Amino acid sequence: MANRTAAPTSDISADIDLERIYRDMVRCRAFEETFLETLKEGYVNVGWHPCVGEEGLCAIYSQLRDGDYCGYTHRIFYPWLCRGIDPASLFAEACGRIGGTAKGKGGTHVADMSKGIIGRSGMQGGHFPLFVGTAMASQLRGDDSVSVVTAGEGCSTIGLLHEAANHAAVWKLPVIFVCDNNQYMQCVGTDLIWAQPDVSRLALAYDMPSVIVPGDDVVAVASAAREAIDRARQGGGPTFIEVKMIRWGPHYLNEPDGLSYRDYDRIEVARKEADPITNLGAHLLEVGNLTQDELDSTYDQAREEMQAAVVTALASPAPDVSEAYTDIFAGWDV
Amino acid sequence: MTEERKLSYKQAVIEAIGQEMDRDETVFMMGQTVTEWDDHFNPGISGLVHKFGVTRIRPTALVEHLEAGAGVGAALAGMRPIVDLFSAAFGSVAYDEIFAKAGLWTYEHGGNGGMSVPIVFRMPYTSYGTSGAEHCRSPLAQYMHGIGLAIAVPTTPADAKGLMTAAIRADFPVAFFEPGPLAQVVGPVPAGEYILPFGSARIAREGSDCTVVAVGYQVALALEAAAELERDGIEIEVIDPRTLVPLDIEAITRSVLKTGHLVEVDEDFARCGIGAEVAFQVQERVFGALQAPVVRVAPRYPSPSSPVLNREVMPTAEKIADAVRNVINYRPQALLVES
Repeated sequence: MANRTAAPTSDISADIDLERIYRDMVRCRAFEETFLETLKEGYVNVGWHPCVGEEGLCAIYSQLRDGDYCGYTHRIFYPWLCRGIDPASLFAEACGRIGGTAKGKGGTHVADMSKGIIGRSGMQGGHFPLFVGTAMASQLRGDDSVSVVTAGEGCSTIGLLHEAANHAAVWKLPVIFVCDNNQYMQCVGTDLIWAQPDVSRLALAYDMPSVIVPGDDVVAVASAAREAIDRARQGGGPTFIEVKMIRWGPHYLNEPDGLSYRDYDRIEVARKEADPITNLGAHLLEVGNLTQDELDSTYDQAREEMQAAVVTALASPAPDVSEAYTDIFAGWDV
Repeated sequence: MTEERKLSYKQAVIEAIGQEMDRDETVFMMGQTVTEWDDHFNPGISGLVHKFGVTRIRPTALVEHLEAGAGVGAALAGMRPIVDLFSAAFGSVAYDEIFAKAGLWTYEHGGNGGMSVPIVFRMPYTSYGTSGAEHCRSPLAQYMHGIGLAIAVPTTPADAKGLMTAAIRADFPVAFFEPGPLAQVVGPVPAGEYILPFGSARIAREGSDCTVVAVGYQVALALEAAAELERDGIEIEVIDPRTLVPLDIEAITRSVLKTGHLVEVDEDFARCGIGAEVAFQVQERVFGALQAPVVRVAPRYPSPSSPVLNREVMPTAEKIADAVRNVINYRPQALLVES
């Protein structure tokens, strides 16, 4: 089984809803923009790891359905919106309000059990075992739900991925490993921490199908995801999808400008030529699915949606202090 | 006890697991040794493998992180996993998965959608072996320190069955500690469904002179010490907490109010240990009842392999008896200076 690059974009399955994916990508970008504005205004309590430019990953999450399980990371928040969590509850959580998904206890640790978003591990790599577990639950129940676990290439160095990938393959679990390979682990270039450039080569060791797709070729990402999801639903076991792009932004918001670990020329080219939203928009124009007006109004509507969500979130009060003592088993004495 | 049928400690644990798997199809067990060839450590497990198959009695590779973390994921997705870590020492490899994923997850995510992590971590342990300091450690206090886990340490076969049943049905994570030296101990065990609620201590022996809170195997040692002390006319009350979280502090303080003296004994390290917590909670509640400082009998050094050295470090019946005598004969230092 060879590691391979994506199928040509013309092979796109007719039942992939590219317009839905486009809408979700734009909503994610609008969310991040609105989030950063709200943070600047002083309402948001939590930090943020920018991911603008990596929205091509939405093509995976937007194809999941109710009953599926989906992880996200400190950076790749897209499953929140692609799986249908109310953005007002997300802003409320980030602002420490009772209307948040975790009633203000989680910050960016968001869960929505009704959407299969079971939460986020604060330890990098902690997600891998969790989603092997959700996939085990699907298999034990005998239903056809699937699990998707995402991690950056930086966090894919951890041994937990080896443990999880091996058992996913041994047990033929319905789980899809998504590697968001954005070339930078925190403030370190991937070439300094990986012995070779393709994380998905790991999959070969487990006899697991794998594919590498460019993150700005959304149609390719969508096709790879569809194949993996179908395989998992049909009992064919796990798949490893490596999505390659370059991180446009810093690791964290207050990162000093101009750190030399970043390749600013490459980033500039990526911003101009490898914006997944621009590229998918161009494709949808070309095939005649959407007009330029429709593309523009998608963004305007998304911004309006997110700004309205902030208003709703800020109308939610802070939690009562009694909330500090709920939602955990504490025994009789703590 | 409704019947005088007898089982070993481990048979009782496996019986509870089998009965719960029968009753609830979301219950499954995984671990490195849970196979049909594991009757030596888990007598009766081959029967479970034949009955439920390798998907529900599922052997894993050497993957403690994966076992514990996947268990939590499965629990969040509606299952009731039992993760057999084979040894509490091996469990330490997966500390983050147990402490943070199982213990903290519901809090961190605000209990979204009524989420719960109904998982049982089997943690056989002993510090009395010859395998060296890493294998032979008893990290009970490590888990007691974390918030979010219940901790069971049954000492009789019946309690093992009752607490395992309660642990599997609980909607919170449970670290289930099984003292190694008690594995072969035989005792009466109810044949049918048997549930022992968490947070209820057992008075293993009544006495009026000194309360001895003993954890796990140390209950047996404390009872040995009691027989020796009885010859000297000293009657100790031995309390087996059965669960450390929740801790039946009421039962302990009731006893201290009666005896005025307290000795705590366990095989985890003394520093920041179970005894420190028990003593603190007792002085908080019944400070005036204590006629002497609380004494801990617990190791201050790692477990050495040589039996001679091991006896030197670990609690023994003699050390417990000595501690009791010291506590009972305690005189305030000021008086000693005057005399």
